[in-house]
Amino acid sequence: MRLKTSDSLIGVAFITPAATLFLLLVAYPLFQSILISFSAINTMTLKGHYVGLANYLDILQDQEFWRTLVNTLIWTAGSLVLQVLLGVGFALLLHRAFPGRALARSLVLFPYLLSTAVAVLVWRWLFNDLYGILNYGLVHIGLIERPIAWLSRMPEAMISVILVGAWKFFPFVVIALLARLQTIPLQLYEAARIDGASAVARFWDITLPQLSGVLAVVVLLRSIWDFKEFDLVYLMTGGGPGIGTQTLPILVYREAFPQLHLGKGAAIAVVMLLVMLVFMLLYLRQSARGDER
Amino acid sequence: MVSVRYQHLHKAFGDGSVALQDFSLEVADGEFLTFLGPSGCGKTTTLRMTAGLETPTSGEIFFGERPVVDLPPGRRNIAMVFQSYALYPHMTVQQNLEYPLRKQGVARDERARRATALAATLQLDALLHRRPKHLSGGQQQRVALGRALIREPEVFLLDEPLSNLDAELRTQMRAELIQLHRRIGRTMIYVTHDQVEAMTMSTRIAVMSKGELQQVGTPLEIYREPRNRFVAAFVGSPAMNFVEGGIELRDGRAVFRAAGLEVALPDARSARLAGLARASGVLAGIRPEHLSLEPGSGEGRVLVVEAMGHEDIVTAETPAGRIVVRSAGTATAAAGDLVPLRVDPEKLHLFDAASGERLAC
Amino acid sequence: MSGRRALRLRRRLLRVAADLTTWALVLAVAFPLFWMLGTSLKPSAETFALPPTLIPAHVTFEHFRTLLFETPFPTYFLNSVIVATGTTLLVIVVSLLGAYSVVRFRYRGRRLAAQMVLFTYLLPAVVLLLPLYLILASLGLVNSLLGLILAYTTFAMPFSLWLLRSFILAMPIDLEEAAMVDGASRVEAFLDVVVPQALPGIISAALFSFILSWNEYLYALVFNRQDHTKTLPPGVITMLQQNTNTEWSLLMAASVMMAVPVIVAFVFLQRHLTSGFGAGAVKG
Repeated sequence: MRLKTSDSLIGVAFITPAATLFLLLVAYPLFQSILISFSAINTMTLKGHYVGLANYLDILQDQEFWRTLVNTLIWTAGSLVLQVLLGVGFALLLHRAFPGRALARSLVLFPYLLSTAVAVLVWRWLFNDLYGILNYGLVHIGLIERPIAWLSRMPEAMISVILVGAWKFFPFVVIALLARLQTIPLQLYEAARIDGASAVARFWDITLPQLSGVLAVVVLLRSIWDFKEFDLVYLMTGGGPGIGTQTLPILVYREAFPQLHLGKGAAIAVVMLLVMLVFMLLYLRQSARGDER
Repeated sequence: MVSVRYQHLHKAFGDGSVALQDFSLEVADGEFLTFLGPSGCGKTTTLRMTAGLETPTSGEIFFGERPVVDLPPGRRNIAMVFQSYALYPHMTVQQNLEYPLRKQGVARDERARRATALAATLQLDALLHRRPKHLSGGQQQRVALGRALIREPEVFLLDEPLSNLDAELRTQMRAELIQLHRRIGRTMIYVTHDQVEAMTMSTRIAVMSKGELQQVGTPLEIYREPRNRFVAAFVGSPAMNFVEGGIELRDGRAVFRAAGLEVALPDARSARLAGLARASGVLAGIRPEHLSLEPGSGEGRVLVVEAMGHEDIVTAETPAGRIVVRSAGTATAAAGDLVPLRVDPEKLHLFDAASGERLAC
Repeated sequence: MSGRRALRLRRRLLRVAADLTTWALVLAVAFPLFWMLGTSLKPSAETFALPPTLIPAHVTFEHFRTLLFETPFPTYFLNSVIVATGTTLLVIVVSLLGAYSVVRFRYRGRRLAAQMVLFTYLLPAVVLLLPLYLILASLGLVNSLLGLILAYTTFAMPFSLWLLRSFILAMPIDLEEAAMVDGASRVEAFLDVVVPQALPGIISAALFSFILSWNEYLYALVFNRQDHTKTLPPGVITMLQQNTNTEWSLLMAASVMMAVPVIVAFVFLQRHLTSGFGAGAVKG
């Protein structure tokens, strides 16, 4: 394309609205976030002063922070593993031709598009200790003797949150894999067949290697998103019982709002960002590689 | 009606690669000029600079007396047919044809009238309300041509417009383009890497390589007197044979000599070549059609015979290297045969082996 | 002969068994959705019946009526519509221009811009939560729908930019060049050729922006605490927390109502799902 001044002016004009919104709503807040993390500020009065690294030192000595970090890792890993297993399984099932496939795909994808608030309401109703159908069913088939209070006991609460997280987010894995499965050339399978590969061998030698690139990207993306997930965990248990299912985003929210420690909340958010930066850089690298291809 | 003049045109890209170097050329008013060369030779870049889609790093382009480098494409009064046709996929054939007129502010009725009239001459009348993707390759080609014709531009630019057509359609479209040019008489600049297209359609051909103009001339000039080794090798099919050797004077007569090959040059050329006699460093170019399987110049062992029906393409191994011969007739040789070779001395091209330039003769 | 027939029969049986298993698993995944719908249509008494009825014995729409006429639900719903629509319109215009600029123009910082977009796309909402709160407070936009729209652009814009970028990247530049040769200016070429071509991408980006904004909870919870500016997700959760005796059938009715626009969007989206989702969300 031409390199005329009038031309690059149009280019700059076109990017300006997006850049402005980005600077105002992302870059500047991010910068401010770091500033706040070095101060003690009351969330209500917004009055405060510079305290240096005090917030960070405070966090590092705080038992609750470490417990929350561990919780976050358990939630992220547990839910991620289930999402990938369910995702791969359903992608393969839904890739086959069978009667009503389009409808089946829609049904499976739907939880992902549903508001987390709705998903949580439905599951809390299913998990309800007195009238929930889950307890009723489990008692009925004799797996448990009496109804369980799923969301107010450990480790049941964490298990429940992980299960609901897996249910809500595994369709993302399915969509990504289905898109990729469609692009695997049929000739590969035909060639393998001629070479005498069984169905199982074809899965291991063709399908899985072909999926590995997308799978890597999906795992990175989902671990980033699960790590920062607030809505689902907070709405399921509020972080309880006690701080049994409290994850880092919930801690940020609690410090900043109910407890009014804006500075400390910001410091936790910054620490969170630092942890995630590793994954984000990995993802950026992976997607740059994808771009080259 | 306008001529196109390139003056010391130079184009370098941001990454430092040079696409065009000191390119000067005048395309006469009403001429059909073809830029011919392999991909990456700068022909498309030159065309795009003519269109205003690229800006030269330095140099100037004139349409008639008017410098155009600073004009946007839409104000140069040109039309361009793209290799991909670039038909607007969301518009019907009629809307595609009308688009240039719409941008000129032509009234709706007038637009429709001209589009319909043009469609009739291009045999597109039945397709006016179709979208491009529902057309065959040949039909898309016609629409692209129609969109170029409708605004009656001063200069037509065609960027490999036939390369996506099948062989039969390509031949047919070549004939139609020749007729079209004759009918409207506008200046046309055509870009191709296909020498057949260049030879059959052009008034003149500009052969390009590595960003430099190699030779400009009529198709016959290019074929008969290639200025250097590149032009000689690029034009002609099968490609010219090259044999390295020397020129020696024998009884006042110039003789080209290579390993196992000798061609005595005709008298007229001998005189001019006398001063160039040397033992080596001469490259002889021999077109396959100027060789025959007769005694005279040397001999070779046949490797492959490709029977075309009316002639054989014979590849033979000689001490001077592999030589391809177009041998008229059927079953003129068989693999393994030792065959005599005769070069038509009138048609022998001589180049300096080091520079590749044609030797004066 | 009978050997081959037996083999064919066995294959067919295997196929039917696989189909049935697939559907059983699909229905298991979708069960919560059916249960939501079922509960919303049951009379309150039947909600607590043991054993639970899978299909309502008596179908009633009383909960939907209660929801619409006796709760603030309609206000929440309207607020959500305004916020999601506003976010979508703003984000689509801004990111379409931005994506085109990033793909087609060369200027300093262009690559950086693309990287920033991806970075923002991954940025946790909770990191921006506190400073955004301060900014909106200083602009007087806390407890306003406009404030929420601005906050939602922080995630909807990078997403749309990225998705539209990959759409425009895949678009042949020939068409714009043809338009310019045909007499269009750069901006006209954009409007006449690029925008219509990008339409599937625009639709996908718009639907996703709408769904993301429609569903968002955290910013809505923190920024808009007053009832008249609340959107659906925090609003409905408030309804859950307010009553000591949780009315599950009412909440399920609310859930169904919240899901309806998503279902509508989804039906539109389906055609573009693999292209849009695949291009924008997965492949970087």
